[in-house]
Amino acid sequence: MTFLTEWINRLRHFGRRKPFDSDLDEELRFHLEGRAEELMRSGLTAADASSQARREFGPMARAAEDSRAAWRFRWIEDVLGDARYALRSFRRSPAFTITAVLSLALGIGANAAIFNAIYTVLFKPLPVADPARLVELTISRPDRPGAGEVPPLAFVDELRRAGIFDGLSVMSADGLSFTYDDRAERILGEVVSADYFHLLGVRPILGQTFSDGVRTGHWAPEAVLSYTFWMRRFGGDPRVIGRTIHLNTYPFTIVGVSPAGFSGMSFGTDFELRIPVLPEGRELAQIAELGAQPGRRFSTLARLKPGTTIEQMEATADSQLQYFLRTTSLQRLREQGPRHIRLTAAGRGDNGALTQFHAPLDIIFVLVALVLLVACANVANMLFARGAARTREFAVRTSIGAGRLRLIRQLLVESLLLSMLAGCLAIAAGSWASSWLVRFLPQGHIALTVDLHMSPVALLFTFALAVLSTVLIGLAPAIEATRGNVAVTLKADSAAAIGGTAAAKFRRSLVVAQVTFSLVLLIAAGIFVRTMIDLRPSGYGPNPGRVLLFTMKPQREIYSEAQRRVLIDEIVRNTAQIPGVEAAGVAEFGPLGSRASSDSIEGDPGHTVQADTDWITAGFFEAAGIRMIAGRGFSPNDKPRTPFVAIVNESMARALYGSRNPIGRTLKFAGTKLPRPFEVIGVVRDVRYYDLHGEPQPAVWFTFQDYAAPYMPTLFVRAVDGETAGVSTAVRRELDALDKGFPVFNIKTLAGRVEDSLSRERMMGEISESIGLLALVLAAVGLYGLLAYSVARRTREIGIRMALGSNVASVFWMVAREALVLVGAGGVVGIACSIAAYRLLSHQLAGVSPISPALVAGSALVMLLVAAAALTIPALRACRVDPLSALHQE
Amino acid sequence: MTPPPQLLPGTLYMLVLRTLSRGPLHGYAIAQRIRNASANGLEIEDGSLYPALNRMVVKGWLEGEWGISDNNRRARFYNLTAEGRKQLESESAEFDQLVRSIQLVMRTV
Repeated sequence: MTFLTEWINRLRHFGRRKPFDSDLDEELRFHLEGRAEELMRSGLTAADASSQARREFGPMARAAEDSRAAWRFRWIEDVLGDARYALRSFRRSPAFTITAVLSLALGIGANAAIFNAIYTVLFKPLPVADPARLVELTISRPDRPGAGEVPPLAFVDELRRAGIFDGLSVMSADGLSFTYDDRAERILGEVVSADYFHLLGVRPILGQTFSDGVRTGHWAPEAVLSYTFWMRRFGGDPRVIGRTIHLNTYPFTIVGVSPAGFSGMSFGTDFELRIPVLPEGRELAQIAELGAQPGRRFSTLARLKPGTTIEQMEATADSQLQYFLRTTSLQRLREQGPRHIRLTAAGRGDNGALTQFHAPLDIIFVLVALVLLVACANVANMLFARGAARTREFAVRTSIGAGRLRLIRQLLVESLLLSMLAGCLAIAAGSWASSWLVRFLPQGHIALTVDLHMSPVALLFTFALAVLSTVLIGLAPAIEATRGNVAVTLKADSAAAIGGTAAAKFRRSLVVAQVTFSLVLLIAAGIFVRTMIDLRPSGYGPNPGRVLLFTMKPQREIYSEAQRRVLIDEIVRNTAQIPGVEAAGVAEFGPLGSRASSDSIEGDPGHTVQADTDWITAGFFEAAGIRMIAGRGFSPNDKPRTPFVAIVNESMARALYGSRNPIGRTLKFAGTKLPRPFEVIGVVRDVRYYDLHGEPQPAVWFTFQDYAAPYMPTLFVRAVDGETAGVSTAVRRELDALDKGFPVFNIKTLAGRVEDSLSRERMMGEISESIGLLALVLAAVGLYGLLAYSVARRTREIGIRMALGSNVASVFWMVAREALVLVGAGGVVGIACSIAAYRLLSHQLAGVSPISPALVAGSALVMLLVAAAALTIPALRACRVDPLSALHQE
Repeated sequence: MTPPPQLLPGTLYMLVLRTLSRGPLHGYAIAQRIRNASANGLEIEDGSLYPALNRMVVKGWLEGEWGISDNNRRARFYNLTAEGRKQLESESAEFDQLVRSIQLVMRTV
């Protein structure tokens, strides 16, 4: 408390320093004159009284100065003085300053970026009002614990009427065909309750959210655009409010735009727009997703009333559910067996799409922490050298009365200033690194977005790291530099006295640590790059960069199943005839995409195999570059109402039929899904089809028979060399000519798909590569600094050696040996640490490549070469020492 | 923060607080009172009084206010705050305890 009063009093004083000074003057004068008058009354002369009063008073200036000092923030003012002094000394040694600040900035910046990413992906609350009160409603069944289903709409409406929550909203997402200006585009729309935005407390940045009419049950086709979609599609034009857009050909009016950074409850996915669900019981032919059939199930979000807990409300909602299940008119629900409601906290949102990056980010976090340590060791080393060079300065200052703590404080202020400068640069570096990170997000049929702008929490973290770095780089050098005994340092030959053996040992161990960490980072980089290369699939023909992919979404509300099958056939036929096209075919899922399918397949009766399944047209294998090794491929004649046929891969053939010839044998879907058998007509080579991690799985391909229609198929077009761009435009034109009404999206190459499905590994590989490189450079700078300093310090010794007949080679070797011992020690520890860390951590990441002796040896060799380069310059400088001038020094 | 070596460390604050406990005084009067009350037995440099007064104002033990002195001149009067009164009590209690203990040792040993 007193501490606080003191500060407040001092702050108050700040504005009235001038009047204070004159007041103080007056007060002191009053005292002197009063005392002199008193002494005169006791019989002294005026002159004697005055001088006696002054004598009793003591030095006037000191009294005034000390009185003023009582009011000052002495500590802060002193630190500011230290900072000015430090800045002056930085200006005098720009090379040191730049190297130190850059090393730290890169180290801190990398940490800030990764921290920011982890925080954003895992901990940042949703940008909605009071997220802690949001809960998700699921229904659990006692006979299948762990499995939850979303509640039927009729029950949600019942809960709404019961009023036990501060609002409820249902949510459901689907792709929609969006038309504006004639061209159809496939977007992701979210169907939500009319009071969705009110429930979340999200205000529009333009226009309004759903109108009051819609919120009171008078449905109207209103759409609220997301910020990114508004920017992308409408260029952020504020005049969009009131305009008409078409969703699956049904007209909607744009009423508002939701704020930037708001992406609903599912984190990482940005729905382009939101439209209100229909009132209970109604449906819309064009958009099935809008239908509000009482039995339809929706993801459901609720807001707890203030002061209630999840447990209480779960019990209340559950009794509501039991009543509903007994009384509902939906027979299926009445008879389905026991069910219970479950409430789970939803304030963090659903980040399912991003969780795959959690483990990689954690590991990268460890790697960047190591880089920061290397950078700190570097700067600490430089500060040691600087401190040693300034021993004389400190000795002089000590002899004129500066305390040791005072000197340490000054050196720490220097370190703090370095760290803070680095911290500012680190924020820039971190922002840049974040934008780099975003590019690793895989883009499939659902675009992933994440806002990796540096959050305030990340900025705080950066600041904390800068403070931590200050201690790491500054404390030991400051203590060492001020240790010097004044008399000894000032008297003795300075060149011999500086750098005690303890400090030298410490500095050498810093370099060993740097080499150790750098080697660990190099080996880690090697492993992750190796993993990335190992996982890149082969078996997709030469040059997957020439295979163009077009995903299509003929809306089921607009195109019937038969129409879609005809459409696909026509597209394949027309595309294949475009000049420059080698082959063209369609697959419902296709390899390495963001969607996959798997079924239980039965060969011999009772013998089932879980296999990857896909539906394709003729021409697909040729386009994708998957090689047939037996039998025939599908032909345009394999169409509806012809015999059911299938193609398997080698693994599937082996799994189903062993060594028997698979051609002509039959298989079918296990269970009752489709009892009719398919005849196997061909075998293709094993390739990793849906998942790159692990061995190729057994796989079966079917045609779009009359039981299966294309839903969101992808057209694969293999172009001849050099024709990719031309073919791409021609295919777009062909698709437009055919029908402008169905959207084509996610256009990329097969190589691009591969990169997307390798996003995790690429992220690990590329980031660890840059980190390893950075650490290598830092270690080289550290080694160079140490040797340069040590050669400078030993100039005399080297001179004497040369004068006594040492030749150049032995001098070179003397310096090189010092470095190689350190590098060797660091190398051995680094290799040991790498192997230990690999054993400890490799299970965290599926499919990571092994730590091979060749890789370890290669990394060590790179380290050694860089070390050799770093030591050459100081060693050569040692060789050029002129014995005469070295001996004449001082 | 260094009081004259003639004084036990920290006792100057206590003396000033005690002097002011009977009402506000200006700096010169404080010095006078201490001089007279101690029968000139304490050697305090008058000048050291003012830094101490200022420090005590900063700590919130005293308040300074300008007024008119007996000889009709402007002077700054210092007044004890509630905080200062508490400080005086605790300091003098501590001091008494200290003196008693020292005396006890001096008499018995």
